[in-house]
Amino acid sequence: MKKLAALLVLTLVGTLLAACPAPTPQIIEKEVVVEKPVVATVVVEKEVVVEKPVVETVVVEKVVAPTPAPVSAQELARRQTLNIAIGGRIADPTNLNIYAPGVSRSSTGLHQMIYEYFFYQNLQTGEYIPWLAESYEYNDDFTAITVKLRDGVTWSDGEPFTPEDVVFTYNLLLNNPGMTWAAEVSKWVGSVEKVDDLTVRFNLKKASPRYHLNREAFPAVGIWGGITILPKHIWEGQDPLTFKSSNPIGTGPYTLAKATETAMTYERDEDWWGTKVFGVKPAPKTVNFEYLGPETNVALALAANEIDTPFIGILSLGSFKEVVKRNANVRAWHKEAPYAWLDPCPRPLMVQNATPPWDKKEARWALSYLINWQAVVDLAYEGTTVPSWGIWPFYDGNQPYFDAIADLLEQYPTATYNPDKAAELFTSLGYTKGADGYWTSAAGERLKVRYVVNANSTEEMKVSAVLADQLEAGGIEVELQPLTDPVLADTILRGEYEIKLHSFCPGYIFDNLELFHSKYYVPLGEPAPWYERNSFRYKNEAFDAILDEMAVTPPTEVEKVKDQFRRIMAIWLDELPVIPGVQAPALVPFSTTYWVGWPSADNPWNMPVSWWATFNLVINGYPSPETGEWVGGIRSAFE
Amino acid sequence: MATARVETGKGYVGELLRNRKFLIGLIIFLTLLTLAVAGNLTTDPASRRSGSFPARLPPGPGWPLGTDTLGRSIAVQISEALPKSLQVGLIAAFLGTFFGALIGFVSGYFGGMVDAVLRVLIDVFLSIPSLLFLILIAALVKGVNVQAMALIIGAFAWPSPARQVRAQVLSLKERAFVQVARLSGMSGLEIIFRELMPHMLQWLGANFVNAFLSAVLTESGLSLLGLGPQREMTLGMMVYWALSYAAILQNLWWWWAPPVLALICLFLSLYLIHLGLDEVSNPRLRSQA
Repeated sequence: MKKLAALLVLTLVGTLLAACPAPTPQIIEKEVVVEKPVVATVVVEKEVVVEKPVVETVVVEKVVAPTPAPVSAQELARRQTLNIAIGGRIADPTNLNIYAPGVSRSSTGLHQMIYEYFFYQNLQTGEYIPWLAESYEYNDDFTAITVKLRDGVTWSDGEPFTPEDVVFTYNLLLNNPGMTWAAEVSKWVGSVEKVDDLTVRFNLKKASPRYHLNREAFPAVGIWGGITILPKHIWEGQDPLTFKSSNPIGTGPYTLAKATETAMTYERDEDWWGTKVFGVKPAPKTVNFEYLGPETNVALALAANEIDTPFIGILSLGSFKEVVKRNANVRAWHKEAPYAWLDPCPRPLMVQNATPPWDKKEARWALSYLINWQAVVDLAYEGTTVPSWGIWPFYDGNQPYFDAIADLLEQYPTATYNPDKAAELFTSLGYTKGADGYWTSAAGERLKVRYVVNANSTEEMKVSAVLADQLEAGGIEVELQPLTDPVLADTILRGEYEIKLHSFCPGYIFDNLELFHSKYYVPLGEPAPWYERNSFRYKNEAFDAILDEMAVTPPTEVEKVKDQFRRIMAIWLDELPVIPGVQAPALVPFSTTYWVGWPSADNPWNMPVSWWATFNLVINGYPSPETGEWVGGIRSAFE
Repeated sequence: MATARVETGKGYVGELLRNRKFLIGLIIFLTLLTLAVAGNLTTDPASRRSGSFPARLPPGPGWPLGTDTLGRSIAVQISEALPKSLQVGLIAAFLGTFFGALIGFVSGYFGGMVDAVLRVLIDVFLSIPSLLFLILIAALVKGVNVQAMALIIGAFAWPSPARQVRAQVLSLKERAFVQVARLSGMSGLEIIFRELMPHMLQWLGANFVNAFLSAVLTESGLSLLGLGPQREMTLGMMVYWALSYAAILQNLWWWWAPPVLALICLFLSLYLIHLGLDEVSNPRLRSQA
């Protein structure tokens, strides 16, 4: 008996041990379990929202549709639904106040689906597209801009969109400095007044021929977002910082149907003003912004046609290629390598200029020399991007300015790995390298950095693993802090970091320099106006002076701007307030199984970005500002 | 469970070594430990850094277990992860067993008010799902390291041993030898340490192994949720990285399989050791075997 039992145990152990070197099916089961619940939740939510209206539509479509094959109600609902994967959970789905710091406007879908803007810029075509407004006009000395609003625009509750709403929103921003981007508004706007029922005038504090391009002060979206006009009849009497706006009222073609931590569901507004004015209707009846979990879940969902497109930075090249193998309808901007679209917001490493020793340019340069960005590109980005010497996208339009500082770039080799040079600089600052391999100050303190990382960003997490290794190898102790909103937002804005990789938007020559103006400088511990708007606390008077000069130079005077750019870059490169890193690749696949007409390199009619406010135009299309002809818009693959 | 049988140390160890479950478990455990220590001693810590090896390669010369997408060798990672995971288990199990036993002894022996208070405390901690707390704490502590992780887990490992020790002590303290000790003037703590403790040692050993095992698994669970030590490698963190880099989807089996198998082997060895300890110290179980 005893022997038999012992034999049994031995056999069991033997079997298990033998199983050790080979992957067993047991393990795979384990991994799948992690994914299942997430997918299940999503499906349930979708069903709950979609179920009722579907039954009605089924009948209509079946009569019209030429295909006789029977299609399940669930499949029919899917055919009318656009599913977008987002990168992280919604921190508080009841707080949809677009002006409250820490509330995401893109993961929630707020600025794509609910709110709309006066103008949208199409970076692919260079068009400045009138939407809520029809036109703008500066006065002779660029101290005022008059905007003609479009006739017939209404809020989703039926109230008309009026100049009063515009005036109300701006007064709110001018009186509540805590609102997102309020600082930039206060800097430029003296007052906003109603001229007539369809006209508003913005009186500027100083001349600015570029005001209509300033997304943080004007309701125009070039990149990502812009100033959002709020409905006066809803927001009047509310505290704009604490009002939750859980049921947001906007002018957009969709209304919020359901908000949870993992999914935001929008339903098409059949009474949308655009249908009456433009005669168009967005094709998807339902749009979901869903959090599915880590990269694998998103990749599998895309392969299985459960989602149509993910946000930026979720799928790596390896996963993307695997998805394409499984689903031939999936592609990215380019059909072949390098696949990715170039996002206009490069990723430098912000360095806290207010915290010693990083307040010294030698320390910042030393840090720059310690980083091998090519290795970051190869490992974290899997070769989908390139290192960047500066903070502007490598777009053709910017090239003349880059050429103008070619010699400066030789003198100041940014994004260059040179550990010897770094050692030289640290030594000049009084640091010595201890036996443990870390740089130590004269006072015996180890050189240490707090590296804040957005835990919801696959991209940032990957880069942080490589960067932290490089810095440790270079003798700097790294304390990684993966955080999520709202703690993340608060930590960055208060400057409680030494380094943080961040996107620098909007990517125009002047605008990205302007982020460094010392008028945005606030002491450590107080919230800066915006992440890349000097949360790194840089201050230089000579730099500011040239910036102020640039601010009043019309962008059309290219030669003058080039000269200013040369002078200001001589300071910027010498001081290196942030450390240039990489260009931003946007590997954003989309699936043509349910929706077609996506912008791509073959048909670059718009930007392929579902996290920008301009996504409104990707869904709807837009009237060409030149011909008035309707351009683009995604369509059902079944029509 | 534990018995009142007192043996000489030598006889106990001999009996343990004759127990096949214990022996096999011990051999697997020692093999893992040797591999880990040897690997740890022979690898240069610098080779743990990303980019030290070519990326995404299947096992081959120079990288016996392949490399991940960040250009790190899986073998090097295992050699770092195994000792770190064992460290978490060791610290957490020691804390849990030591404080659990202490609280159990005090509560059981002294009784009265002390017992009432401690019993409520034990019951409260037993009824709270500890994983929930662990997730909360791990999420609140910015940037945990392996030691902090072990402390967090250890802080929730004491209630179960405390309750069981208390139950044993309640029975033991009524025995004649304890009465004799008390009559001969020994103090309470003296009785706990010199009279009661020897009777519980075997049981505590078994509990220690059990706590060790569950601490290793808890660490893996927390790491899988992204709450692990970001700058250090544990078995859980290895699985976390493999998962978050979509290693399964991309068929990089050599990335996720080794840590999972190491976890299985570790679990198996500790479980066998635990069974062995239990059998040797519990004659009833032994006769069944």
